[in-house]
This record gives sequence, structure tokens and C-alpha cells, in this order.
Amino acid sequence: MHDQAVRLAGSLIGVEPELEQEFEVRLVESSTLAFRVAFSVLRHRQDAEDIAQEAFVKAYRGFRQLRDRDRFRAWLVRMTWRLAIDRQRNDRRRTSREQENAGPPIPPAETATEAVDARERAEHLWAAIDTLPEKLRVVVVLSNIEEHDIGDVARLLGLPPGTVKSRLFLARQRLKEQLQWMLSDETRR
Amino acid sequence: MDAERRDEALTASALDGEIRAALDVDPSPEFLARVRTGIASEPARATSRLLWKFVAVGAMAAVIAIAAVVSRSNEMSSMFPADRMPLQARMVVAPFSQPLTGSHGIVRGVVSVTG
Repeated sequence: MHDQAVRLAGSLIGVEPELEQEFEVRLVESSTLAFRVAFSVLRHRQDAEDIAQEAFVKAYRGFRQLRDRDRFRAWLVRMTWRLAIDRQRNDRRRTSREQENAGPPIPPAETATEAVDARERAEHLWAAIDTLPEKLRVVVVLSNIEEHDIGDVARLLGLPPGTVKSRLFLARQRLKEQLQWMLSDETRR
Repeated sequence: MDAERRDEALTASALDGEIRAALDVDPSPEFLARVRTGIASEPARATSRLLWKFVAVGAMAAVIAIAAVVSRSNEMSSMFPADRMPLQARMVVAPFSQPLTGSHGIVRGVVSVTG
């Protein structure tokens, strides 16, 4: 009885075999993209995988309703970005609550190695990217994943190429300013 | 001027290079398998959601049917209370307490209609 109900509902809700095959192809070709989009927001491998997985499950649910399948990547990118931003907000709320309870953080032990320098540079870079407004951040991230050009980013975001170009310019300007300010602040200290 | 532009372009490309390097992270080899497993469990979850919907709709239909029956029976009883029965039902033949004699000497009973 339950099996029959499962089959019936599966046929009502599920995706047909040819669509499943198509979805599988898209899953394979877009998995790294979704993961990197999530990673650019969360900077945590496991969290990024969780979010990318969630986005793919959502995409699977709505795949049948997606009329223009060529828009799949754009759809997936926006969904992943949104989910990752939501997760980041929740995490920040939780972390700030935990920090309030835990007291001041302990500074890391100072070791002058190249690895530490590289990590610090990456931390500065991410901190600078975090200061960008969302619409500039997504442009700068997408233009640096899978060698997307301005046209690719425009298609992914459903924006005119001119808008992407100007946002990218603005984002780079702000990043440079932010990084310079961070470096000068560090040399003062 | 040209040197300045070149310098700016170089800085932009250096910046892009750093961002690209920071984003050059691949998912774990198990990632795709995990996604496939998550997707495979989707129809079952959707089925249970659908079954719950069916159960909820069935329960609501049952409640509505019971409410309709109850209100209809209340309506009937308020329209026709025991003391206001339809005429046919309320035709009461008064007992012949005392035989009446008509002008023609015929004994008649009194048919009273109450209400």
C-alpha cells in the first residue's frame, strides 16, 4: 500500500527519466560552480557543500517547471547565493551570541612564516570582499570563477553587460581602496 | 598617463589573480555522491508530504461533512419543533368527551386543529 502510494506520488512529483538524465548532466557540469559560489560567501568547505547540495535539491524539485533549461546555471547560481547569504546571516547571529558569552577572543601565536603571510593576505582579501555591497560582491566573485567573462556574468545574473562592467570596475576600485587601507592600518600598528 | 593605466590594469589583474586563487577550491570527491543521495531521497520526502496533505484534506472533508449533518439536523428541529409539527402530523382528533348532537341528530366528533 505504502509502496504504491510512493510510486503514485513519485510519478506525480518526480522528474521523468529523460529529465533526470538531463539534470544529472547539469549537476556534473555545475557542481563546482555552485560549490565555489557558496564558498565565496561562507569560506567553509563543509558549509559550502551543504549549501550547494541544498541548492541542487531545490533545483531538482523545480527542474520540471524550468522552461528555459539554458537558464539553469543562472538559476542555480542565484539560488546558491541566496541560500549562502541566509546561512551566513544565521551563522553571524549565532557567533555574535556565542562571543558575547565567551568573552574576548585569544590572539593567535605570532609565527613569521610564508604560510602565515599568505593566510593573512587571504583574510584581508576576504575581509575587503565582505565590505562590498552584495550586488558588487556577486559580480566580482562570479567573474573570478571558471574564467567567466563579462558576458557570462551578465547572463548568470540576468543583467546587461554594461551594468556588469561598471559594477566590476566599482568593485575593484573599492577592493583596492579597502586593501590599501588595511595594509596602511597594519603598518601603523 | 599610459604608465598609470598600465599600473592600474596590472593592479586589477593582480587583484583578480588573488581572488581567483582564493576561490580555487574544489568540493570534496564525495560531494557529487552526497548530492545524488540527497536528490534520491527527495521523492520519498515529497511522497510523505503528499500523503500528509491527503490525510489533512480527508480529515477536513470529514469535519465539514459532520458539521453539515449536525447543522442540518439542528435546522430541521428548529424549523419543526415538536409543538409546531406539520399539519398532517399534528392533526389531532379530540376525544369524544361528550357526544354532540347536531341539528340533524347526527353525532359528530370535534376535529381540533391546534397550534
